[in-house]
Amino acid sequence: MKQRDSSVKLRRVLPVGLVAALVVALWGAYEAHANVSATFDRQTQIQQAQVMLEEMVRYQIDEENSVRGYIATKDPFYTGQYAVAVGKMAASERDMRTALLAQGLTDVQGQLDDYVASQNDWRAHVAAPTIANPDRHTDDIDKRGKFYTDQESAISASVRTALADQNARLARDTLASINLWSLISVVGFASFGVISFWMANANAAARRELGRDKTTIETLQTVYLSQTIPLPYCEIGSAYAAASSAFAVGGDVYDMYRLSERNALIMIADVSGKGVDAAVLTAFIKFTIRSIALRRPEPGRILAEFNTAFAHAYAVDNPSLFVSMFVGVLDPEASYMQYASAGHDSAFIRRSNGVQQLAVTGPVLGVMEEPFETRTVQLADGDTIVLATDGLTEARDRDGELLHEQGAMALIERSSQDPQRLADELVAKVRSLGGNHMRDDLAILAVRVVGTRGEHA
Amino acid sequence: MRRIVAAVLWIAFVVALTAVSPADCRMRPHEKVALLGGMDDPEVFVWDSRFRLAAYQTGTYDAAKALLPHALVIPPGTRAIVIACVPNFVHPRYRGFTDDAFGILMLNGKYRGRSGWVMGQDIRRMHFR
Repeated sequence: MKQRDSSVKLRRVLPVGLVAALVVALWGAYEAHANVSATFDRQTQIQQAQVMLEEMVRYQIDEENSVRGYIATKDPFYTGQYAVAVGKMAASERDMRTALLAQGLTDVQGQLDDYVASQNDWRAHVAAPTIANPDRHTDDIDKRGKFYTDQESAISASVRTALADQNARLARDTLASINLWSLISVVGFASFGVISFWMANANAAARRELGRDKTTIETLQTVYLSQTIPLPYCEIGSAYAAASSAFAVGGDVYDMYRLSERNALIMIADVSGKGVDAAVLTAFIKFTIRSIALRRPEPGRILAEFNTAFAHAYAVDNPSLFVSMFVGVLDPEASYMQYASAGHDSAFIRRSNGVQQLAVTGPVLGVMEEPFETRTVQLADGDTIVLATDGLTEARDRDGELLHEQGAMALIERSSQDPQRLADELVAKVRSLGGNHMRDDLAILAVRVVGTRGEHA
Repeated sequence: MRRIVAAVLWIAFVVALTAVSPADCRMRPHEKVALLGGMDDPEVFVWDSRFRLAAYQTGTYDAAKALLPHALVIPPGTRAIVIACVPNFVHPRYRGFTDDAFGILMLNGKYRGRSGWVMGQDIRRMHFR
């Protein structure tokens, strides 16, 4: 029992593990993908910064060449070219600063500041005095020119190295991160596979177990359901169909029992639970009702006594357990039936002029101590008593619509006169309504009165 | 056997002599050289002191600028002769290498006969008559 409990707990936990493994796997895959995307973006920014740097160096050389051209030719075209290069270099500097800021390269930003300061000094102390007086050539201007060029060459080389290092570091970090997240993802998918395999095995075991249970229940039902016995002035038919799902099998019972030369007991009941326990309970119902009916062949008293016995035997320990039951005591020769119904509304009489539902005369059994009224109905030649369990009135079509009592009565009215064929047709109809799927057990007991002297009630 | 050992030792000696790093006084005193800076600016600074040479390369922007009066701007192609070398003496601020400081004596040009200090990367070995 403990092993079965732990198996049930495991089957409840496994889906959670399965979902968790899938989440981890997808999370890892997403993070790996996000890392790659982020790295592409950052590498693009670094490459933009590298391009901007080369453009700045090119514009710096353009400025210097423009000044040299002006010294050599005195042509104002070169001062124009100089101004254009200054403007373009400023634009490249802005773009580069944006890229560096995005990368958080503060060291490189500091070097860029030195670069720009050096170029501004060059413009102020070399380019401007040279353009103002191209014929005046001094050692001081030469030295300053050399100095600024040295500075800018060194700084630009340093910035190139820093950007390349950043790019390499980014690739290295990203690779490590992708490896980690890929590993997490692989572990997640592997866990998903293992748990799936595990669940498949557990489900197969559960199906085998349920199959065994269903077989056991069906065997019990077959044993406990009564065989049709010959009654004078009566034709009898019965049918039983187990639910398609093993979870819904068990709990339906009917019985016919000869109480005396004249009287016969007919009974149908439906236990609220399902499974092996409910199937076993049907045996208790069947034989207890028989024993009471032999002593007191009055349906109301039979139900009242059974209610007391059932409450003491079962319902005290299980408040949610109850039974709906119809009990009839038939005197076919005198053409009448006494009956009582404990909350069992699937009881009908088909007469020549239509189908009549037999009234409920008390509450379901196992709930409260209540008297059950006994009623009498007269039977005419050809009348058929049709007793069913709730598998008939609660049958659903493929759209989920219930058949209800009216639908059941219409089915009964259209069915064959022969009681056995009637029972079989009702089962077949319910099965076809659900698309060859039985949602619940269904038991049918049909008794047709033939060759009597009675009159209709 | 003795001859083999001697040959191995000789080879090891020759390899040791030739296996010097670029910044390890690759030019010896009395070698004749030409001054030539980088491609961006081929002129060369010649400093009156190897310490100022080093300070110019390692110092901040302002510190380097303050040293300019102690330097001569020499046009590329000026000939010189190496008179001294201090290996790995210069550590440029923004560059990831060290360089030698070479003492030179200029052989032609405006400053013919003047001596000074330059970095190893500013001189090229030159064979001229």
